[in-house]
Amino acid sequence: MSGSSNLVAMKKVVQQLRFEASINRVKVSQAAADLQQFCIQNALQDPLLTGVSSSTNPFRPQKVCSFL
Amino acid sequence: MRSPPIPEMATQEVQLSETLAHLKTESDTLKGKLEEERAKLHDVELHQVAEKVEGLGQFVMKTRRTLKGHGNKVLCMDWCKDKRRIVSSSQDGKVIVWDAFTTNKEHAVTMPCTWVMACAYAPSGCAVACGGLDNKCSVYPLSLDKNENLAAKKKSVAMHTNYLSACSFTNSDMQILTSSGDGTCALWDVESGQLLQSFHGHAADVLCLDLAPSETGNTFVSGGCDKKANVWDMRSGQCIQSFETHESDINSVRYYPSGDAFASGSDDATCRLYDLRADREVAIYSKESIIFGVSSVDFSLSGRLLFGGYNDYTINVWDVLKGTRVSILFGHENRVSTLRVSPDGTAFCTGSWDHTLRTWA
Repeated sequence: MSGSSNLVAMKKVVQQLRFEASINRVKVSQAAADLQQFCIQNALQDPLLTGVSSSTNPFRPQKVCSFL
Repeated sequence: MRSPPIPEMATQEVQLSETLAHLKTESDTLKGKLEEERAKLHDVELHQVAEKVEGLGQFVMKTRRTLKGHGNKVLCMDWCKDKRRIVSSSQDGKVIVWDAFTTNKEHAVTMPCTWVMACAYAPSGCAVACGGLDNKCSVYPLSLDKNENLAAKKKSVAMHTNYLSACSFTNSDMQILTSSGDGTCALWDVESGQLLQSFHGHAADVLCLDLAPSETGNTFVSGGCDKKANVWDMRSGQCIQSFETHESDINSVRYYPSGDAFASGSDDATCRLYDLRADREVAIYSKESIIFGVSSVDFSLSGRLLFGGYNDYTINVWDVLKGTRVSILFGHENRVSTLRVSPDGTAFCTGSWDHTLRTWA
């Protein structure tokens, strides 16, 4: 009967919402500070950020030596 | 005199609809409470916190290699852990493995279907997975013998009831996670083809998925045509968090390298950042001049840069913390359909409807 299957579906929705409402959250200021901290700590190890020189980045073309 | 049975049934139906109404009210109340709880913690914007961070300079990123060989739109690509090989798949049914340094093609497989929308490299580098309109995800072991027919060793792993939109190996060659137009995601055992867990909750096609970095545990995020991004517990199959702020299909989701957040790209022309611990959207990356959808997103290694491939043929590079665009890259001659940063972060690769792939650095 469609009535009872709607009921089952609704119960699932409510259960899911109860679960989601109950999780622990932190303030955005705290979360944002942590995201920023991660960026700063790892900045030097980020080749696309720092721009790795041609000699160490295999994708950047190296200058070709020519014999004179 | 006995009462006729009809009033009893009527009573049952009344009880049922009262319970339904009761549940609907509770559902609405809970949704309101959820918004309230999230709003309480919204004390500041990410870009405000990042005001004191040094701005980024000019970026010089160019196409370093162009991989030509596909006969039609490139739909998906993935890097091998060796940081040089790439697998790509196309509308023409071909899956190609390339050496991105030399641009040589190392393997090619012709799938029995067109629109191979998903492909992934196995962590060992010894196999690739792919699928699309065939509704399946198949695994091909890569042979060292170039003459061997890869198609002969093909293993069908996943079976969905609609197209395969994305696939990813977990941290071993043994399990594959898939998402599908049938609205579900699923976890499969590669050897036996057995379904280990299925994930229900999206109300429409699921278009993308990304696994959390291994240090953060067994979760993954998925995005779909229902405009929702869902975070799932891989073991229980439960949806643990859900975000619905995009205004259109979510085409791509990618975890921030720390695992505490993820970015999404959508047909609504925006990329957004969701923090998992704050349980809310914390940044939107958009400009009035950008009106075409985002097909794919990925972070640089530190998470400071977000690369987005767009349907207007460009790549926009965003400062994740400050919310500003730092660069716009041109080169492709049609939509950018897929974008991934290499495992060591030295380059990123894009695939396009212009039939080519490009690596940028």
